Amino acid sequence: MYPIDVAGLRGLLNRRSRASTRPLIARTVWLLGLVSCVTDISSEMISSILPVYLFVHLQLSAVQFGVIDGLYQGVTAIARLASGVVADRWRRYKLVATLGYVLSAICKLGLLVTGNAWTAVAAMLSADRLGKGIRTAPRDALISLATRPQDLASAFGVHRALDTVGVLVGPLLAFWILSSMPNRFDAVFIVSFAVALIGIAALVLLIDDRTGDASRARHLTVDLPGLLRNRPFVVITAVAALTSFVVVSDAFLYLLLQWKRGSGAETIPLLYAGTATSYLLLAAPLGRLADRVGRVAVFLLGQGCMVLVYAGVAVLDVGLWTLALVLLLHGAYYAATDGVIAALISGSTPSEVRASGLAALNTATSLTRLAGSILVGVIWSWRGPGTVITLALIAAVAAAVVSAFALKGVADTPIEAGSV
Amino acid sequence: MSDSRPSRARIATFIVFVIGVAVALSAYLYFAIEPTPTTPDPAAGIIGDDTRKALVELRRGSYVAFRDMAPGPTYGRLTFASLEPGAARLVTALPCHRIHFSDTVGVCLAIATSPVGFRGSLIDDGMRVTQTMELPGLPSRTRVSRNSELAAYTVFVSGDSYLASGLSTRTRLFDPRSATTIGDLESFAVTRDGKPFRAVDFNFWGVTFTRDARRFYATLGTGGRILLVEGDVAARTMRVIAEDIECPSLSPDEKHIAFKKRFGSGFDVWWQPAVVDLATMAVRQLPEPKHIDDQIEWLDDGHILYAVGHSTSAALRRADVWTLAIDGASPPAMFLADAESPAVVRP
Repeated sequence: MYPIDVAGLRGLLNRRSRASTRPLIARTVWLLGLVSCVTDISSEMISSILPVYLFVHLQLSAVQFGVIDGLYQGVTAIARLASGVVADRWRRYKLVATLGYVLSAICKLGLLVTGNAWTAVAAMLSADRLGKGIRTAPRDALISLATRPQDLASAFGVHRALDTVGVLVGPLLAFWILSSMPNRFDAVFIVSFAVALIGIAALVLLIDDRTGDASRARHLTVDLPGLLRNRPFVVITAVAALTSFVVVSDAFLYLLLQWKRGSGAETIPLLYAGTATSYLLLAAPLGRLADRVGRVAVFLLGQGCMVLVYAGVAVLDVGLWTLALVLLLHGAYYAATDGVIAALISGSTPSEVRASGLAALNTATSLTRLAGSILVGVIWSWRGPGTVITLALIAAVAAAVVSAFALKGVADTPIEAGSV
Repeated sequence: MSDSRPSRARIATFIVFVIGVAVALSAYLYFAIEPTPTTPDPAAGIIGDDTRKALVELRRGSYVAFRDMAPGPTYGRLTFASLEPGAARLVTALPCHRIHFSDTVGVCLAIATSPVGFRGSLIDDGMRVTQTMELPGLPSRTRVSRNSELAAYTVFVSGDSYLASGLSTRTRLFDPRSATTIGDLESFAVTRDGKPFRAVDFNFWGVTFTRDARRFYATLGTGGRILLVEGDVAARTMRVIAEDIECPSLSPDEKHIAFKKRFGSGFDVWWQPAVVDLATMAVRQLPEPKHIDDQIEWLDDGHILYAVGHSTSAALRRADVWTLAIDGASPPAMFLADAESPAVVRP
């Protein structure tokens, strides 16, 4: 039914079957992984201490917190799309990505000086998110353009694994600073800024984005209507958006686990670390598997993992081992879907609209994720966590079935060889 | 897209840049940030023998326990002083963010950075930490009843809200002598105008006890409104008695409640001290234009104490404790410089 490439699977087991003059993972991908890793160390340092900083150090009120959150969700959706289109139009992926990284770095210093004016803090946090929204699509376009079409999922897998290293290291670094210099939040912000600068320097100095064709000099028209007529692109984006809608956010999943276990909020950082570790370990192997046996198959495998996660939470008594298993599967879901979807999109969009396509994917999934969170919130308030988990399980099964049928007609092989 | 190796010049520039950033960062951390002492092991005792003697002497009279905020080695520590102006400070080794005391027990809520977490410490008569409790979130408020039988804390719990990013509060009543949990306010039954009142977005914070610890007052936030509830500990019930009275603090004579009055909207919100007369429910706004955050404390039946922060950056947080007469006739006066979270104890 799905193009599971048996020869490819055999090749995966027999590692020497592949003869190639080019490395599987391009230097650019390793370097972009390094940049993302360093940048995530910087940003996760801040986000891990942000509640303590805002509510204990600055003594801002929690009622003010909810107000800003909806604000930046909307801002980033537009920024993501715009950055992708601009990057394609000017063919300046690195430049647009750099602007995003620089904006976020400035915010680290900005938070240091804005103090307890809520409007200024909110502006800085929004600008930081904006920077993240701007850089994502051009960076993923750089990854895809530096990679051979048949290796896309492997490349994204390696990049996501390196990225997750930063997610794990950042909070540890922040807490280490605060334990050796108690109450010195300024030290955390300064170190975070310095780390962000190193990431930017690596991007600017070490990564080469000279495109192979002569189009660099002229501004291209970006054929967005053509992108929307591209059936595989639309189907993959729709499936990704549907998946983001039905998959409850990490925060809700951890709340469900706590509700089952009856444990306190103090364990939440450990749950995040559990998922991240599983994601980190599985992202590259599952990406490689996707390139070998079929990206659609691996994506559906990821959805299957999510179904198992909900089934586990719904049915099992959450003990230590089942908790570990649930987090392993949760990480596997991310590893089998996030980079793989980026690879599927990259494989189905011509290189001239690569960043726009990736940006449209990001925008669609972030909007449906937000809508899904709001819906889960309403159901949770209305019917309680028991109903949430039942509905989440049903929705995950339904989404997997719909995805399987929708993706049936999608060619798993790239339609275009990129500009390699 | 080419995938060429970066030129040697670029690699060299990158290495020089990284070294430059590392050197500048180290220099900044070394020179601009004076070292603050790390958290001591509470098991080793929170005061030396000399301080203990002075403290036993001090606690025979009236005194104030607070969080020292003077930059330097004592920053953030539980500290005691007599109520006399300019009295000497007796500093303990215990870091606390929120402090409250009765004459025989004390509660200290702290952010433990190693291991990561939030910790409550219970302190006995002899200034020993008898129990520690893991807190389910960020320390926000704490109060001990005057008869030492009950205590309460409020913490912020992130991710507990129904929208993934929101924050909610958790308020727990416990016995400060044994750390035994009496119950979370979230599990108490609430009535309004005699009818059962419940909603999933209930948040409770800022408990204040009557002297006999049988009743308490607290804030209930729901649907964007702020309500004052009066609770019965034994019956595990609360009833709504007023609106727009936030973070109550009951006066020693139990005739007034000092509270934080909310101004503004959206994220441009601030709070100023006000007092309500419980016999008439008449509210008096007090002549203090500055923003206050923490629960108000009573110095005596006619005066309140409250902390005003004046740090505006990520550098070391600073705050002072001010006092104000509740008749509103005189302007606020500084009570303790470089201090917050005051708790007044009278024998």
